[in-house]
Amino acid sequence: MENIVIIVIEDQREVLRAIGKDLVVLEGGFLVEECESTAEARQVMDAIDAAGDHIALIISDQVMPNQNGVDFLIEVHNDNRFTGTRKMLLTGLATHRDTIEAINKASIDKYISKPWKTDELIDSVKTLVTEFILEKGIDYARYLDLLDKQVLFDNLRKTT
Amino acid sequence: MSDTFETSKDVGQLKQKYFNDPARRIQLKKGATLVVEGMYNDRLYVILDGMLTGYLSDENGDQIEVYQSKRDMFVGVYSYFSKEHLTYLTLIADEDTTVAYIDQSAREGQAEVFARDFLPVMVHELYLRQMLTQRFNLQRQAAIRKLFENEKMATLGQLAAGLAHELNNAIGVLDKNTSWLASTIKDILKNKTLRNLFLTMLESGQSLSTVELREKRKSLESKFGVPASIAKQLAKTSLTEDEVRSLLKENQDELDRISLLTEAAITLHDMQVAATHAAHVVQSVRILGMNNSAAAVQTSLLETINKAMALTKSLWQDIAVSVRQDAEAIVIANPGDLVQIWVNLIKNACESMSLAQTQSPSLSIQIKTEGDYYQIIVTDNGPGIPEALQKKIFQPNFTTRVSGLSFGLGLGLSIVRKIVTEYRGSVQVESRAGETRFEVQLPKP
Repeated sequence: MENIVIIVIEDQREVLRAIGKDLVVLEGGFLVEECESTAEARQVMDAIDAAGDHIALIISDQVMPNQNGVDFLIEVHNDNRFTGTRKMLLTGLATHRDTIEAINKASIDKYISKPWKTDELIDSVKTLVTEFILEKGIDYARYLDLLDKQVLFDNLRKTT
Repeated sequence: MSDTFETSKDVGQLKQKYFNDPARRIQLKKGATLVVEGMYNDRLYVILDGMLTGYLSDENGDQIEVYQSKRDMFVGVYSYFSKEHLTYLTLIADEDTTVAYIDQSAREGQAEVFARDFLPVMVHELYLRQMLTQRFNLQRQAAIRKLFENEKMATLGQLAAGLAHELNNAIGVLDKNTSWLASTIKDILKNKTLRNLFLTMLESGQSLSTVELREKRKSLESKFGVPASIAKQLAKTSLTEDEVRSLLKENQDELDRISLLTEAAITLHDMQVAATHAAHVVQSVRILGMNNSAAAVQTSLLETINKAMALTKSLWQDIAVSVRQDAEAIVIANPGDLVQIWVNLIKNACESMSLAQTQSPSLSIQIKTEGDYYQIIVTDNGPGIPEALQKKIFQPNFTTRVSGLSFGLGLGLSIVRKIVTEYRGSVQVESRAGETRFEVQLPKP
């Protein structure tokens, strides 16, 4: 049985742990992988892909040394191993240009600004992961508690 | 009239031909006035020696410098050639000056020759004046920009000071209450093992990187056959494998308790780190926007260093420190500025040693007297600064700190350099693995 993984990338450890702590409620069904850089995320994603698991969502900070979030998300967007993977930018500082790039070139699905609200973060994550699961045709029965009911309901209405 | 225009006459030839009458020479003492603005003048002067400055009066009657004329340059050009023969400038000698002149009679009966002789040099004269005006204009624009910049910085400084006060209060509340929560939880924990676990994690925070945590998690997963989510919980704790083995025999509740307690300790640790960081950022921004060297007083270097040591106490608690001076050192400075220099240097030294987990870390600060200068040497035995980075470290926005909240905006050393330069001092770094020396030189009063 494949795992469904959520990747979080944030260079400041304290912030990374704070995001991780908010996402603990999802760990009953999904695996949350915390990464301190895009390079680390790339390695983790390679391993996950090789194991045949799914990367449902990447949550990334924008301002990081070496490579910024948008550039990494563009890279992921152009990688056919990760078609369907949802992308979220979580940042306290993104210029107008960053944001335009993020939308046009990386087709990010959600933008959340810091400081974030736990509820907003969790709801957005649930929505995006639910969309991913439906799109991939993964059996969602075992994740039911963690999914976005509205998205599921809309999907049922469309398909029946 | 010929088609070609002869332009061979230079100033030397003109002087020979027109300005050679010793009766038509004027000696001016330094400060003497040759012509006054608005006065009748039908003479053309050439400067044989010395220098004249032309002034224009503005609507307030203030004299504004317009141009300077030196040897072999002409003055009275406009009034000589115009119909009205009125000067538009006041000309004053900057030093003892000799001029020779011609009047309108020089042109009489030979207008064409005169024009040919003078046109090239007059065009050149006007060109020189125009260039001078342009240069004045550029200087003025630069001055206005600088003024504007200064005003902007002053406003920023006031804004930052107000903001800093408000934020420091808020940060203070968060910081104090975090400490209170930590010590209260510690007191509530009666179980010695749990209490030690809590204290260890509170002290160190999560010292493992995400890569290390992932490895630990995977090894726990395969060793104990636990699901990923439980392995992740266990990996975050400081439990040894033996402790994990015995813990797994207990019920899930015990695991949850330990896991939550670990999480709580790390959280409180992170909160304290964040509060310290926020306080430092506020301080840094305030210092950058401030120009307070006006309030300079007699200041003991040792006192400012001791103050900085007190402020950074939490950083060097586990480090062997020494502060020495070979003689009493007094400078004229704002004590706050100097404290800021030492705080940044001490903070850098301590953080680099703690990040590199330097064995028996030590920090020494020495005040030496060298000629016209005091030399303050801050030495640590940390990992050193790679040579390639040594040139960059004083630039704003340069930071080596890529992980962790305790690390700054990359303002620290740029602030040090800014302040030291304001006091006409200098700062250098010498670094290799095991010894980093920052040397600050400040002039004696």
